[in-house]
Amino acid sequence: MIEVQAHLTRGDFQLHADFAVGRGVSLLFGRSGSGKTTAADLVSGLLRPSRGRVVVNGETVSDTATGRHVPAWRRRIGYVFQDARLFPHLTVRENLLYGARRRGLAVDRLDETISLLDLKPRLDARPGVLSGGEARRVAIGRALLSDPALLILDEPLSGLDGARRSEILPHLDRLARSGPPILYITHSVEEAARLADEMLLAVDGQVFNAGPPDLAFARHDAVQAAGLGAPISVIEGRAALDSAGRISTVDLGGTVFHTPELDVLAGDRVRVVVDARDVALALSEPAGVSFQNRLTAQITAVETGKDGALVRLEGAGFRLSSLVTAQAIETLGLTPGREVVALVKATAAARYA
Amino acid sequence: MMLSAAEFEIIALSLKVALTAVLFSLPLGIATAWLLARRTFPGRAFLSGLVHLPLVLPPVVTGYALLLLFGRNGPIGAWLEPLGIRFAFDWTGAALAAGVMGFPLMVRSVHLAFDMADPGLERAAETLGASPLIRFATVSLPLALPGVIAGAVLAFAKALGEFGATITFVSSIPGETRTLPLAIYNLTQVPGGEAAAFRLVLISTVVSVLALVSSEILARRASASRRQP
Repeated sequence: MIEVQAHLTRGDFQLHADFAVGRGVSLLFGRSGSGKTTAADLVSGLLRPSRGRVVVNGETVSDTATGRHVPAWRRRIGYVFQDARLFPHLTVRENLLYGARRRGLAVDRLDETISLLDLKPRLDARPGVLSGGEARRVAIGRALLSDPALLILDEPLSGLDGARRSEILPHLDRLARSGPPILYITHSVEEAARLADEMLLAVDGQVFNAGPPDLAFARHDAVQAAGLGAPISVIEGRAALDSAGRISTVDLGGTVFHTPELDVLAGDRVRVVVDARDVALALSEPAGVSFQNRLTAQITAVETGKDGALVRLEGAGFRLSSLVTAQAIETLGLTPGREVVALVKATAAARYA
Repeated sequence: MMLSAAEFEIIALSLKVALTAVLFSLPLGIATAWLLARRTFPGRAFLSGLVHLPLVLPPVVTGYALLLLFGRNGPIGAWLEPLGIRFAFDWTGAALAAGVMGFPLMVRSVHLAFDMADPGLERAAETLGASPLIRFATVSLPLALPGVIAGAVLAFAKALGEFGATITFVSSIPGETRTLPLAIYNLTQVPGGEAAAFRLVLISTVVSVLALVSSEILARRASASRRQP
C-alpha cells in the first residue's frame, strides 16, 4: 500500500527512506529526531523528496525522475497530528465535517463516527474548551470523515496521561481492525507491541522495514531505538479461560501461555511481551519449580554479545528470545537445532493488547 | 449642532473617499500581507520595502510620485485614460492617495495576524482535501480576521486624515477632492474662517471616534469565538 524509496535533505538533517508496507497497521518506530514525522510527511505529500519516489495504494504520488508531485490535498491521506490542530474558529461538529465537505461525503457517516468516538456531548463546543483526550478524538474523527485511503497517526497518545490513553486506545484498536490502512508513528514500545502488524524503524534518518513486531523487537537496532535493556519477545494468541475460570492464559496455537489476569474477553486476540532477561532455559522439563510457563522450543540461533548470549527460540505458535550468560551456553551446550524448555514466570509477561 | 449643506458635502465626500480607499486596498492588502507572511520568493524584501515606503516618505513626496505616475501624462495615467479611469484632479485620485498612504498600516496589521495564526492549521486543512484557495478562505482568513478588521480601520482612519499626498496629487477642489482635513486647512487660511474651521474639527473628531468604537466592537466580536485556551 505504501512504497517509499526517497532521499530528503533539510538543513543538516538527511533522511533516507526505503520501505514498503501493506494493509493493516504499519508502525513507524524510532526515537524523537530520528526522522519519523519527516518520513510520514513524504507519504502525506506535505514534503517533497529531494530524490526518489513515493507510491501510495498503487498510485505514484511523488517521483523526482518524472517531476510528478501530487499535492497533499489531492492524496486522500488522513493525518492526525501530534498536536491535534483543530480549527479554533469552528465548532467540534464543523471541525469533523471539514474534510467531509471538501470531499462531498454523505452526512450519515458523521453519526457513525460521532458514536464510534463518543463525541456526541461535545459537538457544539469550541476546540478551546476540550480536554487533551477529547481533542485527539475529534482530530481522529475529522481525519476519518475525510474518507482517507490511508490514515497517518503521529503519536496520537503522546502527552496524554494514563487515563486519557486508556480512553483512546480502545478506539485505536477498533480502527486498526476495521479502518483504513494506518501508518502509526510512535516511540512507545507499548503502542508498537499492541498495534503493529508491520514495523518500520527510523534510526538516525534511515527508515526501513523491520518485519512484524515479534521479529522487529528481537533486532538490536530496534532494542536500541526503544531504549530497552534487552530484546523483548512479542507473542500473540487468543485469550482463554484457565481452570479457575479466570482469563489468565493465552492460546498461542499449540502452546498455552500463562499470564497475570487479563482484562479482555475469552477469544480476544492478545499480545504479550516478555523481556529476554526473564526467560530461563532448561535442557529438560524441571520438576518442582515456580515457572508456570515451561515451553518446549527449538534453538534457531545463538548470538554472543558483550552482555551475554542471546538465544533465539521457536516453538509451536511463538518466537522467544532468551538472554543468558556465555557460561550457560557452554555448560548446557546450547547450539542451534537443539530442543530446550523455555521457562517464563507468568508474572513477567506484560500484556499490551 | 446642525450641519450646513457645505459641511454635509465635505463629510459625505470624506467618507466616500475613505471607504473607497479601504474597499479597494483591502483585497490587495490581504494578498500582499499573505505573500509576505507565508511565501518566500525573489523580490520579497523589495515588495516589503515598496509597501512600507509611504510610511517613511514625506506624504508630499508620495503625492508627487502619484502625480508623476497617475497624472494625465504619467505612464499609468495615460494608459488608464482610454479605459475611462481617471485619477488626476478627481475624487478617485483622492481615494487613491488615501489608499496608498493607508496601505502600509493595513498590510502590517494583516501580516501580523497571519504570523500569529499557526501554519500547522493550514497544513491540517491541506490533508483534509482543501485546495490552496479553500484553505485560505476557510482557515487562514478567518483566523486572521481580527487583524484584517484592525488593519481596515487603521487604513480608514488614515484615509480620513490624509492631507499631504492628497493636496499634492489632486489639489483641493471643493466638492471634488476637498476632504475634511483639506477643508479645515483651507478655512484656516481664510480671514474669519476660524469658527467654521472649528466646527469641522469637531465633526472630524466625532467621525474618527465613531470609527474607532465600531472597529473595537467588530474586532471583539470576531475574536470572541476563536479564543484558544
